[in-house]
Amino acid sequence: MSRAVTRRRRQRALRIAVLGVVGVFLAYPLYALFEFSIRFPLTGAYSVDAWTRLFGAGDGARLQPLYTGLVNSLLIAVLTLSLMFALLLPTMVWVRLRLPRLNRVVEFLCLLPLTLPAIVLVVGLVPVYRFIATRLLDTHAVWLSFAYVVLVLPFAYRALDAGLSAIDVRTLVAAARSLGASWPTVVARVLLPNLRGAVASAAFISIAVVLGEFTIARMLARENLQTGVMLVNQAAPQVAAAVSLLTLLFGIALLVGLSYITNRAHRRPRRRDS
Amino acid sequence: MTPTPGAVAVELRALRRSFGSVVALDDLDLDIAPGELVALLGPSGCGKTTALRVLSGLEEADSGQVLVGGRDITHVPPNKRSMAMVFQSYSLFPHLTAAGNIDFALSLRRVDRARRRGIIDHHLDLVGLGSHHDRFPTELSGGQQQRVALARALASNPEVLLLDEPLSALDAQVRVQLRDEIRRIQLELGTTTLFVTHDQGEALAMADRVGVMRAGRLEQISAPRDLYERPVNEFVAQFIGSTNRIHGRVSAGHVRVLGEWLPVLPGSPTEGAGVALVRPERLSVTPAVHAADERGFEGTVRQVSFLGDHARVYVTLHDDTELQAFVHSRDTHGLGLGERVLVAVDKAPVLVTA
Ligand SMILES: Nc1ncnc2c1ncn2[C@@H]1O[C@H](COP(=O)(O)OP(=O)(O)OP(=O)(O)O)[C@@H](O)[C@H]1O
Ligand SMILES: [Mg+2]
Repeated sequence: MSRAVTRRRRQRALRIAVLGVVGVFLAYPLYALFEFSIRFPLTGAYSVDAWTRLFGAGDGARLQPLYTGLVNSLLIAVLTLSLMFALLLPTMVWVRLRLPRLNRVVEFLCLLPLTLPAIVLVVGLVPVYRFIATRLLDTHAVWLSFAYVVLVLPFAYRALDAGLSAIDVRTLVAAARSLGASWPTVVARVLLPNLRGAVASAAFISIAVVLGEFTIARMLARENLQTGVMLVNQAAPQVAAAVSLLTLLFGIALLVGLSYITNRAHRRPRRRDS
Repeated sequence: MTPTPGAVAVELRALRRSFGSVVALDDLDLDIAPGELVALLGPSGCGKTTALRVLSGLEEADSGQVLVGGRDITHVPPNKRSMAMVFQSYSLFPHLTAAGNIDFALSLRRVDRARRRGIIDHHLDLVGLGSHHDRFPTELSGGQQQRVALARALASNPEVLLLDEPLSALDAQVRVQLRDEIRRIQLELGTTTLFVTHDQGEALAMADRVGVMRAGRLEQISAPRDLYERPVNEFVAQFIGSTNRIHGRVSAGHVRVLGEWLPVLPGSPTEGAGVALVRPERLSVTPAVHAADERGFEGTVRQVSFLGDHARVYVTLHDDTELQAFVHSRDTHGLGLGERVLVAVDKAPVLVTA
């Protein structure tokens, strides 16, 4: 018995050690970023000047690219998510219902963007965006969403695929339809409630990708959060570091929230509502 | 079966449906009387599920018509048909409790919120789950889930109830219990019902009439007893129950089998040599020493499978014909391996194939 206890204790210690190493590995760059934002590199003097400039007034003009970029990125995120869900959910459900043999093809198409470096993607996107800017819409950064939908496709596909595989879509849809549910009702009251975790994962991971995207926006000369950070970095590097830190923390919060939600989604049906 | 007021008739007219080169329904015709329970039997892939899905509107037919209560609903979408289906796989909505599942069905049928509680209670009681309102599907056994699915289907008060092998995932004991319950409830409510199954025992026990399908067509549809005793062709005779194939000669509407002249069923040749399909319970097997009058044919016992209430006795006749007979357990003394026995046949009508 005591041997079991020692073993358990040793495992616990090992687990803490591993967690500690990983934690330091992930946290140290964040800490370094934070230190850079509060310590003036030339003199080594500490000040929270960058943070007050970021949140306080005064330096508005110089920080303008940052604000523009942030607003743009948020708009892009909203539009990207809407387009992604509108495109992906009905397609994936339909394929499962009617064309199961096409499942492989859809998966391949959705995962394809993973294999293309952003810089290669840009080469193809330049003429497309020239057309969008001159003929179709305008040069507003929000239209980057079209490109970003492609970027988030692999991640969103994976998340939704896992969710759809966990339920018997064909039978649930057939049951709902035969009980008198219209298609909108099927989606709203049968599919979405059972895909809550998957939809949240897809959304969070897509937001994280959109907020972190730099290459395409830069190459197409559109302003988003990351290009804003870069511009401000030249003029006020410490403020840029503060913003980067905030973005990273926001991304981490999203991912932690994601794992929390998916865990809860798995547990929920077992809980008793007495 | 007395027609229930409000029950509707179902007519399937020359339904065709193919998937690529596979013809799932090949001019299927089927009539179901108001309040009747018809069971469809057939080998895997013969189109039973497809027939059910076309009737429910989940699948479109390539051609043909579906009529319910005299109305042509061939092109009506499933949510506008008054039907409810219970599936082979578990079909409860996982995010809703047992009561929530039924409530969902009621809301789709626009039942007053105030009346729903009573209907839910009634139907959960009907399937014996009155105390399981707040269980989620994952907290119910397979049998209980199918009961809730049945309650959900019945609560929506469908004109036609469709059951696609609802019992096949359950173990034998629950299956028999639930099938009797489904039949009891169906008779009580008088809902026109189409029941698909693999299990001939289930079909024969529950249905007013049983249809046997093969390759997208209905081979025969009759009351269970007729189907068993008066099959119209060899496929049906072989598919339902077991049969002995005994060579005989047909003459003037009778066939000579094991020394007896048996009347032949319609569909048999009228003259000449043929093979009579004789049910095992129509053969009697007795130890040769006891047979005083020596009627019957002599053979040797090859194998005996004891099955509780009866035994299946395999006998080889002197002309090498292999036979099997059902013998009541109390009559199996003296039927050991290698014993010499006499085999005799009842004078019941049989089907003869050429
Ligand atoms: N969605 C589909 N796509 C392609 N082929 C199909 C589809 N549905 C059915 N089939 C084919 O149609 C034929 C009939 O299928 P169906 O499911 O009706 O058979 P079944 O009698 O219900 O069989 P089982 O007893 O195994 O359930 C089969 O050959 C099947 O492969
Ligand atoms: Mg089937």
